[in-house]
Amino acid sequence: MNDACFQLKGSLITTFILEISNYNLLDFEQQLSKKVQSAPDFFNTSPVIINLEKLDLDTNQINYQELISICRRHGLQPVAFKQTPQLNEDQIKENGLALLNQKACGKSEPVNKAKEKPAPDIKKTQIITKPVRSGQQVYAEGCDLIITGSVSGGAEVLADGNIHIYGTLRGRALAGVKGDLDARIFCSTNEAELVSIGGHFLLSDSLENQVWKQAAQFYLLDETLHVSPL
Amino acid sequence: MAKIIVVTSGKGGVGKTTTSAAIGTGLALAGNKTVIIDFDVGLRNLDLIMGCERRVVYDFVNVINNEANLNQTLIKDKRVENLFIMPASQTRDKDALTMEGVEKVLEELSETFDFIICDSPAGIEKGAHMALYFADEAVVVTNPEVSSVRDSDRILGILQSKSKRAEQGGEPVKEHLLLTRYNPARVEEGEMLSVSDVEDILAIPLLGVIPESEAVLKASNQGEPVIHNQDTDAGKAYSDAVKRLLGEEVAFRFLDAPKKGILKRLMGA
Repeated sequence: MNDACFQLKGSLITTFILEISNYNLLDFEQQLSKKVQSAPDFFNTSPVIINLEKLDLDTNQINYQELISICRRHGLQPVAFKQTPQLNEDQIKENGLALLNQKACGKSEPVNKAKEKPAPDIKKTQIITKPVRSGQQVYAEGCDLIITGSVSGGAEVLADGNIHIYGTLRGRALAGVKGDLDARIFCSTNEAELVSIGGHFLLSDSLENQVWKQAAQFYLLDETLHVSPL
Repeated sequence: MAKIIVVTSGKGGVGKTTTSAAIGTGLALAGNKTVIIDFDVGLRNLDLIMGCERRVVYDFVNVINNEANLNQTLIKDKRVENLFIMPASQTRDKDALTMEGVEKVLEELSETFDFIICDSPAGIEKGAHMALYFADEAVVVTNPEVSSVRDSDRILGILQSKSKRAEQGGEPVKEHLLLTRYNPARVEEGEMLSVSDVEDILAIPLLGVIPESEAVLKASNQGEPVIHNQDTDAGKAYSDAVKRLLGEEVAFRFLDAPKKGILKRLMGA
């Protein structure tokens, strides 16, 4: 068996689309020249697809050969025309260029692009509406944690972000467990066993004489865990 | 369809069996056909508190293993009509219980009874889990001291996450707090947690407060549930709790220390 002479491979190539909105060859050449001179290396031998979609092809008699020559003179390499209804396909073929259908060209309108923008990447805060009982553990991964009830002694609540407790904190609360030192802990009543932010912690021993049984917030300042009344 | 009520606490020795006996008796006295099941396999106590220990022939484990049927096993209470006791096995351990076996027995009892009281063993292991798994309601027995409160908190967490209702996403188990061994005088001295302290931590509705009473120990030793003794505060408090369990609104009693008489005050005692 003979060795294969070739292989067909799919690939994606970045090209420019030259969208012509005003058919006046003199102006066109002038403006193109200016554009290319602004970054000669960038445009040098760049493949270009010409799009005449915005022109009324009934009133504008297009000189395809001249259009292509102007592009070539300025270092661009027209490879194809984007297919539009009244394009003179024969002339394009005579000049050795291809025709690309709508699908192959993809969508280029910037307006549509804005619409397709994905939703902003915000992870929803985890909300717990039941009391967190002794022996239970709640971990809000990659987000904040809100607890509307109390956290019992022997219970543990953790979050990668901030922790808000609208009841009494009697158990352990650990915020910024993956190292976020800006995380904070808030509680309506502070009777905590342990409070930790980004690994810096305080035990109830040292908490009992600061903002005890009051609304409190905990935050890090110069790598020290601080408590202040709310 | 019977209502299944588990009497549980986490901690041992707080009065689960005393409460099961009292509440079961109270429900039966109110005209409900009631059975109390002793889930404490290996540490059988309910029969002693109910005073039927000499009539135990078959037990819960025998029924589960199909060695006896329900009629052979259930012990009819001598004092109260409509009250039955299902004793635990004293010679086996908690591993003798199976989830399928327990479910089968509860289903069969459900057909003829109004209330099934499950007297849970202490702890949070298999026995306690089996006792609470099928419950519709839970009476959490708590003493006014910190370790009992914490253990009750733990068992509440298990009710909310590991009961059948929690696992199947149904209506959650209805929780009731029953505070036992309450001594208002010691609360005033600051030696004991108050009702509001415990309510604050556990955050569930209060079913009753049973005052600390010598009558409870005496009743246990005599094998006669304390609710029969309506001359005592504990007996009255249990009656109130049963009424509340049945939906009646009853004011709380025995929450304050008795006032010292004028003579005692003059004597400076």
